Amino acid sequence: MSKRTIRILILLVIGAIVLTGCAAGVRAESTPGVTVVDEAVYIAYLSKLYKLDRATGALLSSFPEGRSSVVMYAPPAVSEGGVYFGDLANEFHKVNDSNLNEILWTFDGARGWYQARAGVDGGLVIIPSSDRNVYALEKTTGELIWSYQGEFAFVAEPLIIADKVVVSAQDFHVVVLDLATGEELYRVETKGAVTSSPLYDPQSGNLFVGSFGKEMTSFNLETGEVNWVFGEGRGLATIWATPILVGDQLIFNDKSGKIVSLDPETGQELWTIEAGGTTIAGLAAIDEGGFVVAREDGNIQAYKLDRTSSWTGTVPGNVYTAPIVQGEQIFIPVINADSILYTFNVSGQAGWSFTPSN
Amino acid sequence: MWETIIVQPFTNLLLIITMLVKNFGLAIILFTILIKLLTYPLTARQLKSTQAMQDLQNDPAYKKMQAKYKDNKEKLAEEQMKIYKDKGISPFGSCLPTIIQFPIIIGLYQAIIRVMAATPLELVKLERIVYPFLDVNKILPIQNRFLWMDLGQPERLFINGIGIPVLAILVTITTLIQSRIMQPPSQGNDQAASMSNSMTMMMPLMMGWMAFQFSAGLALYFLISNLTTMVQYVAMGRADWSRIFPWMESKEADSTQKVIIETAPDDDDDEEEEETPVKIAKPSARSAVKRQRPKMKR
Repeated sequence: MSKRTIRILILLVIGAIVLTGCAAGVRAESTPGVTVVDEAVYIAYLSKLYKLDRATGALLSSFPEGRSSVVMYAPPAVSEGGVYFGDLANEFHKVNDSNLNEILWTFDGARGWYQARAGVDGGLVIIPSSDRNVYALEKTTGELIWSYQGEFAFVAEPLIIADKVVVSAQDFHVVVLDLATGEELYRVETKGAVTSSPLYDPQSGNLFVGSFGKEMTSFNLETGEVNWVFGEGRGLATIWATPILVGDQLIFNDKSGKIVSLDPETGQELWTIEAGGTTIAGLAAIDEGGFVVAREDGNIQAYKLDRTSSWTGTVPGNVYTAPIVQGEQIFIPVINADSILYTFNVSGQAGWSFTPSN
Repeated sequence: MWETIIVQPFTNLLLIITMLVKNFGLAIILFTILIKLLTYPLTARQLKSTQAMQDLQNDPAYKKMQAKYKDNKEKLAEEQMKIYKDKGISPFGSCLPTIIQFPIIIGLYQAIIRVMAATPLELVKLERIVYPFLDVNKILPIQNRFLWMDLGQPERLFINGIGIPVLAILVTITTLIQSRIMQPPSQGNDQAASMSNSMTMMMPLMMGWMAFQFSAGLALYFLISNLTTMVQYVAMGRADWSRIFPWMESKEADSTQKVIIETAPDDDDDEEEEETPVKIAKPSARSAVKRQRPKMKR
């Protein structure tokens, strides 16, 4: 083979690699999936699942031990000594929380990626998949109990409430299933795709969910009846995140940075903050009297319920997932920065950050 | 700049087609064919220039002229330019259309990737480049289901639990056929022929591998692009099916006689009695084929 031929072949291989990097293959772009449970922080990002010490950010363990080309973004679910997470190789694992590299079982029956946290309750693990299915697995064995097929990829964490499973669907619906059988009990129509989980208020039995239809919908879990829809003529942008309940207010944000407070019972507007700046991530309640919001550009703002600003901060990179508040700590997952997780305390002082080693 | 001029319009065009036909798979097919049709004049010009250059390279008189001036590069270049000018051949005529087409092809490819938005973050980025007159909350997300495929995932047709990569196989076969029927005739240069053969073998394997790895939407684009290119070649009468079906007539034998250079003038050549301008008479490809088509051997 001549030198020229070899050069052309090398160019072809480089071209293929470049094209592979550009394509929407298994290297799809997403954000770190973070879960905070007790004294540990779990992060699924690119080829690793990390377990950190919550107080210090020190790395406790990671999965897998060696190098891997399998990418994972779905936040893990942690329950009774097991860590449950899926990846973009269409596999869902349960590993031992004490030793992440001890795989207890693997479910490989799906034909799509796992992008959202699984719901774990009682004896079942409920997993949303990009192959348009929601799978229910037996918690200890990983055996498939039932599956529910929808029209689009499921990308939001399902809620397990008593004997029901509430699933956000991108086909302009929220679907409520029977936990034991997976049978569809009813569906609530929205005006756009729903990519975030609903919020459940156990006191009223109502659920609240935002959609791309630029509206917030409240419906009753038992009856499936819509209580109210807020958004018509309000100039809202698309809603990407789950609302929060703080005190007696339902608060949510839209993509344009507008923060809206509603009466959860009636859907009446209480106030609106035109915070500005693209805001994909949602809000997090920091105590009974305030909340924090993270803008796409890394600007962090904390507000009191009277709409006054408590403090502001910044993180490098971009924020697309809602902050997580646990006790006195706020956890903010980011992309396009050296670190993938930054922390603050509820007073706005920066804490540790986590940078994965290469 | 790249985003605004190329990727954004292509992405929105693809979204509009998807809205019209209400099927993303069909939209990819129509979009690919549309772009191929729009770039057809460039493709045709490129083929014409390439063919003219090949014909010229195969002409014995041209070769003789090259041999004659092999030690006088300046004179060789001068004579070549004279021939190009007389014949109306642009030495860059085959490169320029390719260069112009390249960003279009890359833009088309990126538009398909954008619209397939497989993760919420990719959906955020797609929403950002949708033109305001398209009602984003009604069109997103795009339904990726097409036939048995999920266009956002690598394609497999499951039969008895075995995933068969149908698109990857079709892409490999069509790339092979396309490479074979478009392969220029051998010019007696062993190195060039060897390189050409290596390319013909490598390209289908590479494209097949990419179709296997990439999401089905891109594999579908590869397939339709291959088929459209083949149809264009056939329509232009450039396809040499004898490279796939050996019993068919070959065009190879014809290609060496299409350009006739009567004399190659040479001031220093004693054999040439008089200085005559270069004259080239090239019959049309179609008439040349008709006149010089070899008889089939039985």
